[in-house]
Amino acid sequence: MYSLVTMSLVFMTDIFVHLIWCRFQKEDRLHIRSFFAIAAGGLLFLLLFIQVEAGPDGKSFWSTPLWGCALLLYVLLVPVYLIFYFGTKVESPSRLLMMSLKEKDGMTFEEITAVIDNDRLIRPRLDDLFLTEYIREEGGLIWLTAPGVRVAQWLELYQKLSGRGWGG
Amino acid sequence: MMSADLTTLMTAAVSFVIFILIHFISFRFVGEGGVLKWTMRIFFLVSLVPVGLFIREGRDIILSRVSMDDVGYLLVAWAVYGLLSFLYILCVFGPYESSIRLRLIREIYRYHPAGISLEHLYKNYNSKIILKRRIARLLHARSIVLNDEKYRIAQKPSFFLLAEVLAGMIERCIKKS
Repeated sequence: MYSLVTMSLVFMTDIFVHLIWCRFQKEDRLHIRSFFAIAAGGLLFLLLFIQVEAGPDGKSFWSTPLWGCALLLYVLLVPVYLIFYFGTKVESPSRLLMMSLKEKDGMTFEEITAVIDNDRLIRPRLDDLFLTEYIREEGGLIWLTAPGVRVAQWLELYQKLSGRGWGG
Repeated sequence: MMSADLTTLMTAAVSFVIFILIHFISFRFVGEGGVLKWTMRIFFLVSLVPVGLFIREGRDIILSRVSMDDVGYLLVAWAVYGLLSFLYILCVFGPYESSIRLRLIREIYRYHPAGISLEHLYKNYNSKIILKRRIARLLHARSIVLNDEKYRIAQKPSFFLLAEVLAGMIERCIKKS
């Protein structure tokens, strides 16, 4: 149990340090790498802290060292925090829709589509794909680059396995 | 005999694999709107697996004789299983099901290697299609309601509200004064 408590304390410290770090950064963007660096420091601390032996009454939950579980939980909590951290900057369509509905007392489908159009939903994502070089434009046509083709092939494989539709 | 640590990890791992298998099989028959509802149902159903595995381990499950140690191990197994499933849903299944970027890549791949114009792309995939899917999902999850042809936010807590609150808390913490 103490391994889980130690892990929780280290993870909360990671979040606290990251929030302070973000507060003092000049650039107003997502600081993902810095959180990975902080979390790696926390993981190193946990690895150095590990004590494999159980306490005097080795059968009790409270004295048994669950370091495998603690380390796995720590690693899994990193992306969980990042998901909510992304939420501060990334504009998901569902969030955008909920925000628009929150601002007004109800909206018809036509009113929603007038506010949330292609320029708001698709254009920024296309620009992002251009920037990350998954797609390129040539002669008025959009093409997939080699990494883009690989992603598309993985998506096809996942579709075959899951039997789902196209998503999006 | 396996250590308690390994047993707990194995229990969580087996539960997660069962969750994935049931998810893959059952979601072939689940429509657009039922995604969230059925994910939760499968998640809670598979949550019973750790209990079953602990019984198989020979632990006493008669309520009056359950030790706090077993409850502790079960809670840890549930936490690991819960986080694994949460991450699978949010990082693998979720993006496949709802990421606009991934759908755009697939739309462009349909015309690979010839390429596609922006007008043609918008004809195949546009904001109306995206919003129809999102609205269907939110209606099914009862996060929004439809009254007099108008969509409104439902007065009940939802994952979106929780995500909104947590993101808001983080935003307030990092906001420069």
